[in-house]
Amino acid sequence: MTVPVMIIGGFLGAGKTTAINQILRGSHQRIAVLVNDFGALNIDAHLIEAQDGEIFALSNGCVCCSIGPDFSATLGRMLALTPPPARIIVESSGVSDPWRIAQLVKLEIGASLEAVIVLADALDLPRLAADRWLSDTISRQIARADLIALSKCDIASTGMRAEARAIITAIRGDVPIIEIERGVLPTVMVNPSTEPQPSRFLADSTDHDFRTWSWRPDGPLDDALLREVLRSLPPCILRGKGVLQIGSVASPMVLQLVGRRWSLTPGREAIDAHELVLIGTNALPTPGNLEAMFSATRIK
Amino acid sequence: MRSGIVVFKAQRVLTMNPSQPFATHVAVMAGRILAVGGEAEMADLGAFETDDRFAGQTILPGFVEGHSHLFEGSVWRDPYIGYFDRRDPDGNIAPGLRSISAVVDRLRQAAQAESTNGPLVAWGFDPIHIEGRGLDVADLDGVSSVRPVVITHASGHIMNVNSVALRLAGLERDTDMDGMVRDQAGALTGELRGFDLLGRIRHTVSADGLSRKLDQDSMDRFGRLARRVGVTTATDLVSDMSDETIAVYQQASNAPDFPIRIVPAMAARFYRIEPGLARLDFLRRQSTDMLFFGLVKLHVDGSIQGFTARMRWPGYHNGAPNGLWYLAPTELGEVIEAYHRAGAVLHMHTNGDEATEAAVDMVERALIAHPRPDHRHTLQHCQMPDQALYRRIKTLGLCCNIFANHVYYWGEAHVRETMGLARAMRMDACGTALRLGIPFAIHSDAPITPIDPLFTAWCAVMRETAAGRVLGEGERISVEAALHAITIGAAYTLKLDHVIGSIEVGKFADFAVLRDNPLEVDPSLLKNIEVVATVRGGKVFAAAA
Repeated sequence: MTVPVMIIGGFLGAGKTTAINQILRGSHQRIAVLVNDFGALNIDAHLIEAQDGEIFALSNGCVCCSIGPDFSATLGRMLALTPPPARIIVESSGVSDPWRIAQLVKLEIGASLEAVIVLADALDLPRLAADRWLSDTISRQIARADLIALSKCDIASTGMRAEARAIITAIRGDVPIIEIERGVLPTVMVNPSTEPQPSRFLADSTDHDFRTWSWRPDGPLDDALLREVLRSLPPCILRGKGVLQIGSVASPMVLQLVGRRWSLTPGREAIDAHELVLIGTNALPTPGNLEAMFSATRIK
Repeated sequence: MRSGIVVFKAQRVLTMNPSQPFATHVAVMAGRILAVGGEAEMADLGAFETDDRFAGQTILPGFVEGHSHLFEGSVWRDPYIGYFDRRDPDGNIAPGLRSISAVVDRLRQAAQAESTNGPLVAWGFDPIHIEGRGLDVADLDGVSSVRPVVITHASGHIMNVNSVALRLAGLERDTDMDGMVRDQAGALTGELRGFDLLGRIRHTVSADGLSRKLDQDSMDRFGRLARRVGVTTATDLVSDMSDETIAVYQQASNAPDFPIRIVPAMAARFYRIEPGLARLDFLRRQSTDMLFFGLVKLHVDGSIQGFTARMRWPGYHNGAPNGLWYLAPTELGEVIEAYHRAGAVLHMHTNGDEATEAAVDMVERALIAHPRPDHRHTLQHCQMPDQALYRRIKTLGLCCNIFANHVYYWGEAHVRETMGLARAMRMDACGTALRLGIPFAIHSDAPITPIDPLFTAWCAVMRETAAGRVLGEGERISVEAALHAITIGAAYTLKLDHVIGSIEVGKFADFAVLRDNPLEVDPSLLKNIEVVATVRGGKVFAAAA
């Protein structure tokens, strides 16, 4: 069992610290958060239960740590914690390409890359994308993100949001974009993905104007066909989870999907209820269309 | 009552003091210069002892290396496999290895010398100069099939490793990771680029991350290297300033037979701003005559040969994408302002011209908001500014410490790959800095290139690449100007020109003693002049320890 690692990137001021703070405070799971600057999180001293060098243990079971000069080494220390964290969230620095960190995560035994979410400031993105010193840095961050969270949508006008979306789409046409307000990433995006039941997602997706779709296949699915469908999903699909029987293998496979990134891994225990849940923007295809797409993957 | 006066007699004393450029006698008392001149100036000093062991030689101010890393003293723990001959701390020549097979032979020899399963590390590899095929993973597998073999390149930004190291790091043929160099068939060559990948290797092949920590042995080795090349003051330009590191500096510099004064720079990236300011304040109070604090180092971009420097239009000659900001320009502005207001001397690593421009912009803002006369903020490396940017550097009162050695070591690679001929000719523009009256020093960045100020001066004077091409005649400077840059010019950038860098009454008695007078030899032979000894605080150190 590997620990899922989510990278949260984006330029300075996009709201990474706010988002991470929110995750940390709202968590009911043991999350380890790796940040550039612990001080910036502004954690109340009474919430800090113990400190061991750069590692801070919080009273809700979460752990915070400054990344320091060697990311791999710090990640290794987080993976070695007892008990291990349910998941790890990494804040990449404002000028770095978060994909570089994601690549290191992929190399680490015991960790699995969940997704790279890049925050983009809906108010500031047009300026940054045109900045003679920064435009290439911004492009690199967006070009390899699995999902873009457009931040400050509570104060950005419709026109500004559209302009920011157009900039993102010009850099990468197929990346899913969600609009967030007051720096809060939707629970469904950052919820520990260790929950076995996909339907749990439906309850978590009510805090945004999301559309959901769930499906119970009545038989095993074809591996190649399913992967083909997953690869060609439209960018309006933001999150997915499934417990599915694939081919003739008796034990189920678990599908995790965040933005453009998905994985199919063997499930831990036998679950009878095979189920797929997708969450998307209001552009989510109709249930009929989705059902047609996925039904075509059933083994005939 | 004066006592203990020693008068050094020389064939010639080049003082670097324009009001009295030449002398034959220097009187020293209590480690400081009491008088400079000829016999007349010595006549009224009272009783003195004459030291005429340098009577046939030339005395200059002790050389000041304004951009080095004491890490140069640590690298010699491992075998050197560079292309050029390099003198080790014991004074022996580590011969340059001119072919892949010579490199592999040297590594095999090193592998046989130790019976361990730990990593085999070597440094200084510089394949740019080696003709024919590159180093391959199979070559290093031939060195050892059980030990990880890790070779760092001279630039410090690239590694070559064997299959054992690749396996330990989890790097396989189908690993998706930037910076893994592949051959035409897609197989890994073992060449790895980028700090994250290099860090991954260090961290996975050894428990201590191949740490080559600064210790007393490193200090001792560095001291021996420095005295051999006439250096009496050297910087450690990236310091974490941990208690442990400071203790190493203090122990070394308190020893009466340590041959150099040390000027470490606190690297701002190790601290958040507030704790960094507090640390700086603490450090300043630790300064002694042998150990000077107060410099702060900032990193704005990467390196040109690693394609991580931030370049303005037209970018990299070979079309490589622009490099990386190590600090966002806005963050740079905040850090510059904070330390500028705190009175620090900022030493800002900028290789590419876009990085230099950003630093210049931010210094300008800080100066408008918080004027500070005589700040001495210095652009380090400063390899690519054009004339207009240099004029701004002049106007703002910035200093430059120019990476003159680059022209020799990587000039050909800059012509071919990074800059193209036209821009390579304006690299490391000492001539421009001199014409504009910008205070400047020149440096080695040891261990990136060997510490040897006379060689660095030769580079600035001749601008010859390793292939013998003169690169940018318009940026050549005179021998006088180059000697200025390695003495009082460098001292000025460290804000230590009141105590070191020239031979004037009241300053520390720090000298470099040369076999020949550099103003009389052919400029092309400047680098060959033998350093006979150094004097630090009046104490003589033979060059060959």
